[in-house]
Amino acid sequence: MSAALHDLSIADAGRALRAGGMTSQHLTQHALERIASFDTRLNAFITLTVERALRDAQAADAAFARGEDRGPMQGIPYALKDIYDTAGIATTCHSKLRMDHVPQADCAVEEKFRAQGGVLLGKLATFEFALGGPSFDLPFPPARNPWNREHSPGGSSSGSAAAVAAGYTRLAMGSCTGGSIRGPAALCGIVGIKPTYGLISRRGIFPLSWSLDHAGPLTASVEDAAIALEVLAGYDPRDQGSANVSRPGFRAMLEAGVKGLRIGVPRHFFENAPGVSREVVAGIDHALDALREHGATIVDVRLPDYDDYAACGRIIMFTEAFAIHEKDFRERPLDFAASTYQRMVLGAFVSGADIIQAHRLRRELALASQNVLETCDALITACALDEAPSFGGRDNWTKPSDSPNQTMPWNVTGHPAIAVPTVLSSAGLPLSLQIVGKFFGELVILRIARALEKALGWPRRAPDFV
Amino acid sequence: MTGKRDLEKEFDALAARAGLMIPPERRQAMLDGYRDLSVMIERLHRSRDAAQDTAHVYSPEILLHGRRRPA
Repeated sequence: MSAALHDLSIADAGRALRAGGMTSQHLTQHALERIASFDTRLNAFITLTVERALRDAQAADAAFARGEDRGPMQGIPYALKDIYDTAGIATTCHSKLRMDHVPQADCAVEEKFRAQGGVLLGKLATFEFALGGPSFDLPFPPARNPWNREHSPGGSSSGSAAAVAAGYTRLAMGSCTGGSIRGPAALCGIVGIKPTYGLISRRGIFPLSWSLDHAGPLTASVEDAAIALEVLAGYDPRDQGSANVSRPGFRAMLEAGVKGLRIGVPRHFFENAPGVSREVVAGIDHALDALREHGATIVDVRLPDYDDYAACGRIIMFTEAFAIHEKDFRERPLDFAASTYQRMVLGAFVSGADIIQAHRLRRELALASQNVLETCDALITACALDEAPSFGGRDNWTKPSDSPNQTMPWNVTGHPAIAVPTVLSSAGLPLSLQIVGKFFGELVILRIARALEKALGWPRRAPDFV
Repeated sequence: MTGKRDLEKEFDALAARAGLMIPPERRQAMLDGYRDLSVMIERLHRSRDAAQDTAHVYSPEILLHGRRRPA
């Protein structure tokens, strides 16, 4: 059984733990051994919390032995992007500026995992302060892609995606301001969901841009993602953006199929976008064919120009990020990685009128998107526009408006969006699409994602990590 | 936008106003980034009704968020 432990879903591992056929200590030890074997080559982890993990696992086993069941994460290993505060454990934001930061308190997400008896494996690599990267001028190396180590796993939740794709853990938490969950999930052949703005508390997560930041899970499967939402969704009065809404059972509709669903496709977003790979478009068409065969109706829809969403989101993101870091930009500019600095500092060049117009445009885009979403059950569009890029071009400067992902629109509007893999490229790297839902419409996008996962034969393990 | 803009002069003035000393080795990339930013900013400005407010107007409801018990 131990050879396949890392491929057990959270639900299956939970069943084995409850049936007494496996202990959390066994599951955790297996994960730690796998990390020790591979991570010197992948750099997914910044901090490995071995003693804490073994203690958590022992406590979970003791709880099972007493007949206690605190929820689906009891005894299950997980890991956190290193911008999530963890009491007594360094939280560096992958930055020289935060090397000595040890939080006093846990973030809201960690509180929830701990309350259920989850097992913290450690803290994961990110792009510095969740922007820029991959960078080689930081205290820790960038994470690498388990499908091919010469390629980036994307970012900013780079370590989170690499850790799940490598089979270290089924669940790693990321954050998303313009695509930092869906982008790396897409490049690593896993699932990444950015829930509706406000569904998961961001308290204790170092901000990049308050009005665009979302917390969300990267997982090996759609079911694992649904379980994570069940554990983490909920109102938090100490997060100003938290939504006070009822929480559905996120697994309730997973196996309902897509028959009768109407799915809109804004082809004008991606079909001829600069840098889009023909293989990505073919992968989306292949997925749409599969959904059609399973009874969904696919229709073309038209949204506002993609570049409007991208400009609006980036102006707001740079401006808010600069406001957070302005003192350090004045006093310690060279302590930031070059790519972080060259993006965030642009926020200093945005006028008051510019930012007001950005917020007005944001409202217009959100309403226009919602109007289109009201004509169908969900949208399907491109996520990453190409396969994972090679590290070879890392010294080349890229325009701040350039992005390898079409993910920003749903950070601007706050609608939920999930990245799921489609096919492998001719180079053997995963390709993807994203499914976008109505506000708090996570049940529908999880349902479509699950149907696609089954139809397209995922999850799959990267060849080097079979 | 009227007249020909001197983006380099704008860049220097705005950096000075923000109290930034751009490290010399990062200046060219920043200047190129500012040109790109200027194109993005152009997209934000369009004709709108003056009464059409922003998404983040002052709201007591938002101010009190977290100070009241959930409904």
